[in-house]
Amino acid sequence: MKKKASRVAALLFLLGMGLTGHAQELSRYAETVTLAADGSAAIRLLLEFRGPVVPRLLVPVRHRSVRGLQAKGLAPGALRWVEKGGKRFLELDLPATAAAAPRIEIAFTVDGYFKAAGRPGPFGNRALDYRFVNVSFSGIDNFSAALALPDGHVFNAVDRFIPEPAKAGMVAPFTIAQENGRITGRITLDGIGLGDEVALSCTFKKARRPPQLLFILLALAIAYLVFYRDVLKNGKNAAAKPRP
Amino acid sequence: MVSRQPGNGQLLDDATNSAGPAASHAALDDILDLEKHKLANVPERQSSGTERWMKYLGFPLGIAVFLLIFYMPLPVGLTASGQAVLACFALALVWWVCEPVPTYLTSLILMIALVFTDGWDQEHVLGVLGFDVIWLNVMAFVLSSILVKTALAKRLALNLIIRFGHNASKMFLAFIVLQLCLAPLIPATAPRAVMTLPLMLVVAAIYGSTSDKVNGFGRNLFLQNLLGVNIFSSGFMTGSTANLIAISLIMSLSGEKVYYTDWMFASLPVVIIAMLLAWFFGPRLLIRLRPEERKPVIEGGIATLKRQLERMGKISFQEKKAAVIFGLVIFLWVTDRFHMQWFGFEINPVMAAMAGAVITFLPKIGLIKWNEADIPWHLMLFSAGAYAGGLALDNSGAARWAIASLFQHLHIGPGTNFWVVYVVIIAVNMYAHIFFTSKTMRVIIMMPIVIAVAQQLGFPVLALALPAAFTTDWVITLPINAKPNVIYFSTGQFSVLDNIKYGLVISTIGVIILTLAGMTWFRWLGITP
Repeated sequence: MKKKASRVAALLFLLGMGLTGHAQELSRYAETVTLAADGSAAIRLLLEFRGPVVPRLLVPVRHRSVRGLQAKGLAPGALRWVEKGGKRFLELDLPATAAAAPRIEIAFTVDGYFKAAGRPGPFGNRALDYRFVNVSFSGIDNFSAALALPDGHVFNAVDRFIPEPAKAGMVAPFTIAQENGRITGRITLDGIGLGDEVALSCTFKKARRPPQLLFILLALAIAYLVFYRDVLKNGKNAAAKPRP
Repeated sequence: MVSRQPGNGQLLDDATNSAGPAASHAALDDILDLEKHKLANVPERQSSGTERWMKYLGFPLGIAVFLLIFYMPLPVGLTASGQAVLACFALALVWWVCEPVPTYLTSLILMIALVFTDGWDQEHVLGVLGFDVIWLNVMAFVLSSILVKTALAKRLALNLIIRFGHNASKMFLAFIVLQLCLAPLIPATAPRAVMTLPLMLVVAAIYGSTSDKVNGFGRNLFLQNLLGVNIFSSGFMTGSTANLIAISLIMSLSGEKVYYTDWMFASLPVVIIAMLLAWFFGPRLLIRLRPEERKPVIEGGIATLKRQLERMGKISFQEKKAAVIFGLVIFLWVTDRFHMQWFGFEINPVMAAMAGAVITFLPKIGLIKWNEADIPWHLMLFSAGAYAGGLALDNSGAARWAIASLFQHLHIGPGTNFWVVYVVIIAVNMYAHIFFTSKTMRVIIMMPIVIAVAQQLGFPVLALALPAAFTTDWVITLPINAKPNVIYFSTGQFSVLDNIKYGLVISTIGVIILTLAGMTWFRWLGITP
């Protein structure tokens, strides 16, 4: 019994050592997704570290059709695609200390980020999903993701956002602004834990509204003024209820 | 605005002059027979000249407002669906006020417009008809029907008038006192409106105001009660759920503690003063009472009413049954805080009313059959549309965007005088109710902004947030702003324009009183610096 307990204690110690050795944080993770009308997206990742850096870092990328991989702040050959458990990751070999790698920038292009071909959905909407799961190695102090829509497009509605506001009065940390001439939705979160998920489901469409409704309603307004003149004469309009 | 027409009083006088006391009683019975003035029927009435012009121009005006908002370049921060909802809601608002089409029809058009413009999806829009507010309205009218059917409402109203109602002014005051007494006992405003509704209908009828022949008395009575049932909630922290949410937001976002008595000592005097001003000036300036509307329209006056009460005899078994059923529902409303202890769960006001309605309809045991329940279904459609619009504003983020944009455009920043910020915050919070159909929604949107403004400018959070929270229940300008408003509006005793007139004036008085209180009374209480 005593022997078993000492083995468990030794195991816990080793585990503890292991955890201490990995007590790094990503102080900043910033992702910018710039969408193009053809459905592709130029993605830029900015990573900043705090504390001693783990040798390897995995960044999940759920899209398959990726091209033009570039990196700044990494040694040549330190960036590669890997598959683990059927999922695709960018694997980064990081320099030994945080001081040596204060800031890493990665850029690549994804084809088919959203479905641009074919007819859009009802009301001209196109669906756009963003998802990030923190499988790095520890928490992320400051997380941000910006989704810049193609030129001439606007967000129609935000259907789902994770994490949901924890309590009444809190706002989902998603804002819409105009950045570099494009409508950009920005998610900003502090303190993303290991395994935490950030997800956004929304729709977007062309900014220009179809003019048919304008003409129909104008015609309706004029028709009302012509055909309902009797409202003024006797005050008893069959179509209108004067009082509740 | 209600057209001035000969009231029942004149008709009654003509009848009674020729036929004597027997005819007088017959005519009084006729006045008090509310089944002849069913709320389910939508009366047709003549409109004044102004109303006719509003109807005529309101239709194109609503469309113009819609097109302006719908086709303007999308403001930064707003979604396209939010813009569509804003446009639809603005159109409905113009039409509800001008009434080029009936209010319920405007609501239906709003629901269609929300779906057709991609403002909100069909499933959510149609789902609003199943909301608790709609159910509460239906059940409320079932309960109200049993009081009318058994003549218990008539008996209570006659007693009330004989004791307090020798003239209109005293009658209004009696109802104000009644609403003040009910406010701390029943935390939900809709049940309070339901309780007083049958009494008000009978009292209004005695003063010559029925849904098809409305006079100044009826308009003032219903609007003053609309104010009372809402504003008095603001006198007590437990006066409404929205108050409690406001307090919980203040405490969680600022760390400040607010006690029940802090709230009551500060806000109750404000609402009492406001209601007294409404009582005094309402019938004199806002909707003037004509001399013949100041007294019951019964020949022989109070003496006739006393005879009528005597003629009713002792309280009947059916009336007792109605009192027991209504009493049971009220008991459940009043004791909601003990339900967990007694039953292991809380019976909310809708379920309590539904339980009462179930007993009401039970064969042999109950009091009425389905056909005897006077349920104004046009009101349910009106409410559903209004709530759909309000919820879509919130769901699409348009309401939050509008409020945040407003604060941004007010250019409040470091160095701004505290009292300027105070007045702006009180005014914005007060008038914002016009665009909301839910107090809770408004509080959830407004309160974090107020707290953030206070924190950014370095002012004590309570000094701005607590007075802002006091405006939560001032939802008095439109029938769509709160449940009691919808319930009272359904009686046809006042128009949207009447409501706006009363609501805007009293809201402005509220801003002035809260500002003066902030500089004096709240300062003395240690709330404002």
